[in-house]
Amino acid sequence: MSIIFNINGQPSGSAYIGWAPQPITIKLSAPQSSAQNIVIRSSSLPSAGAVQFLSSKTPGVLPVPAISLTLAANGTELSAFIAGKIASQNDQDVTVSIEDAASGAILAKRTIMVRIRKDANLLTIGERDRFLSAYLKFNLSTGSPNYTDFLIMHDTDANTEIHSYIDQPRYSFLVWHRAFILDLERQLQNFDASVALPFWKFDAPAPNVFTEHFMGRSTGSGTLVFDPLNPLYHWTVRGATGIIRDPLFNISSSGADIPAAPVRIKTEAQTLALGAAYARLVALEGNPHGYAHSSFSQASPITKIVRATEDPIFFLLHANVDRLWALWQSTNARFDRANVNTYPLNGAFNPHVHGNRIGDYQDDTMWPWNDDKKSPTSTRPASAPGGTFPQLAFPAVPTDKPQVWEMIDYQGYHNPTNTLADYDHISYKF
Amino acid sequence: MNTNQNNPENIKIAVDNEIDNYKGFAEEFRKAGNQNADQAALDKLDYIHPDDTDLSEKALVMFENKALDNSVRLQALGKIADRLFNDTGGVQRVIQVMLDKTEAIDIRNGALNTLLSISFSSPAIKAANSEFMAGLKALSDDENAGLKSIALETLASYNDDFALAKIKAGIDSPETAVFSEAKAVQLLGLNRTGEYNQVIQDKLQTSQDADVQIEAIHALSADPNSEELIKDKLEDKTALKDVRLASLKALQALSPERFVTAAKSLLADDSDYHDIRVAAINSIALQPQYATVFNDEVFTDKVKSLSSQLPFKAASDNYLTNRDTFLMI
Repeated sequence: MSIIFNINGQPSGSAYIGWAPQPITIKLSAPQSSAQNIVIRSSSLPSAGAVQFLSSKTPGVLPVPAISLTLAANGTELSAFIAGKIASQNDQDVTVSIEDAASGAILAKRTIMVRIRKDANLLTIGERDRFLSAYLKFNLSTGSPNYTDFLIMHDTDANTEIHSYIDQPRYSFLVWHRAFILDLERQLQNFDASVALPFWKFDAPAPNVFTEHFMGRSTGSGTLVFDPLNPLYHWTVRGATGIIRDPLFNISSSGADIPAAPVRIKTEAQTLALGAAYARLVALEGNPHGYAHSSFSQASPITKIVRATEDPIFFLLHANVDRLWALWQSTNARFDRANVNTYPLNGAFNPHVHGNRIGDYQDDTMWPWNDDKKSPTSTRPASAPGGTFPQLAFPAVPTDKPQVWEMIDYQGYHNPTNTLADYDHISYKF
Repeated sequence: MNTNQNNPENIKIAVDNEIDNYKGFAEEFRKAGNQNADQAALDKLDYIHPDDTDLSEKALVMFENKALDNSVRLQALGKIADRLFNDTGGVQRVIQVMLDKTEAIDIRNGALNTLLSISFSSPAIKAANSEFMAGLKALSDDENAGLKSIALETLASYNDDFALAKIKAGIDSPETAVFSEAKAVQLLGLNRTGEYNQVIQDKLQTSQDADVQIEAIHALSADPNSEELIKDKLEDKTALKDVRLASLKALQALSPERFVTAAKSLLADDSDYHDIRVAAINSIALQPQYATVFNDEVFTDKVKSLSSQLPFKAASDNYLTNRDTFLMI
């Protein structure tokens, strides 16, 4: 007897999940004379990830450590759900087994990784080094897209598309940057599928981040030093070596700070307290987002929109900005796109009606993945680098020309198949 | 342990406390009618919400009021950054204080750094860009060294010709220099047109300061005309290790082919610095354009022979693992 065991529609191979429940299906590969009682459970080594199971993804149905099912003799497929409970530290460090309920014999087995975006300051050495290796490989790759595309996507021409401009707040600032970092993360996963983008929690000290073994140690003039074994030692941008990043704050004892300014970076609670409506939350573009960027000496590329992505810490900074949005969503239950407090602009941009810009409305497709370029009928940037949005077998979202709304319900509360990436300590609410 | 179990109640409590506290303190500031009461209220406020425009205006007026204690004025300024982010008029008012030479340095410095704290994507800074840049240029001639250096560095980061010329003048006449020579070379290197490459090359050749040489190497790492100079630095066994490490990276960026030749030579020399040889091995291991090196048996045998030595083990393992993967494809 053999069993077909799909995780996210895949019958074999490495599987990756986050906190949000993902579908599993099980069936007998061929009809047999009698039904088969099974138990689905998981096992993992100490310090590894852990998973849990649900019979359905209905609000109020709570996860359990193991689930019992009866497979129909005629081979009818059964479905259930699997969700991460504890984040993995290594690839495929969780084993999910289907056992004969009576004998305990293992009938089928898959491995899985609970892949979660974590605090960069708390990564294991293995997690850190796998991330750095993948990051460097993408930095140096000559394929398409490549890292130069990510520089162009955040340069001067792109600025008015992705940030607030004079008299025009950019509501999609958070949405666009969520897509931007997800694109980058998927490029890294092409080199190592176990990699998740870590976040720099900039309102707290992160001494493990600013070292020569990770994001670089600043010297007197601000140019970073890397250990020769650190992949980032080889970081190159537009053919040039050397990264300037000179913190204005004490990396051992402080989060991002500009001591000579009388203003401090907003804490997590202060950021979430900006308001329960998205239209209020976007004020974080100034502080803490802009403040974090500006907490280095002005020669540091991270302080300038046009050069910020030259510094590898850019994506860790923005992973934290995105995490703050995700935390706000979780705290305020802001996943329903029909609720204006989740996101204020419904429908598609209409130049004859709307004062906001194209790309702000939920049904607008997002530059550059939509290949929309500047023209007599388009106010988008002049080029659209990087191609369409990278597609995975799982999750098969967002679409290759994503619309704004696809970035909102990132844990799939209202659109069950719409799960993007999860952060540690921002749980899925069953 | 990273778990699917945050405590949403704790977060909600913290946020609710933040909101409640803010409301109370904001109202206290709104009602305060004298300096002591204003200061007491400001002590409690971490920021003024951008929606509270009456309070941010009150605070901005306090900042502009020379009759108040400087500490109170700076306190007030520190609460209105959220307003300034979107308020062109407010930014212009702060610029005026920044440029007022009758003001205390603390006030002017606070103004400058507050503007810089919002400068990343502030629409108001963009709208007031001409005033802001003019203000920075004025500060670059200020008597106060701190204001001058921040202004010059900021202007240099925007590739401002005026600032870069002043920085170069400091290299030519060190008695007028605002920055260390290493920092000056770094800032000149921000100019991507190559206008200052000759100056930087001269410094690489003549300076005995390792920091100056390292900054020069990074600044020249995309300049094909500097390839020979950088290669010479890498091969100069009398140069400091960190200078040669920077040269190794730069040569790799400039000429991958010459880098491979240099890396093979480095690896063969058991008397050379471990760090440099480790960097050479790792560079080949991690980068796809060097896959053909994996077929070089002499190089591979040398890497294998080093793998038992602790300084080389990790890099050797990286190389051999990636080599095995390459050869299997």
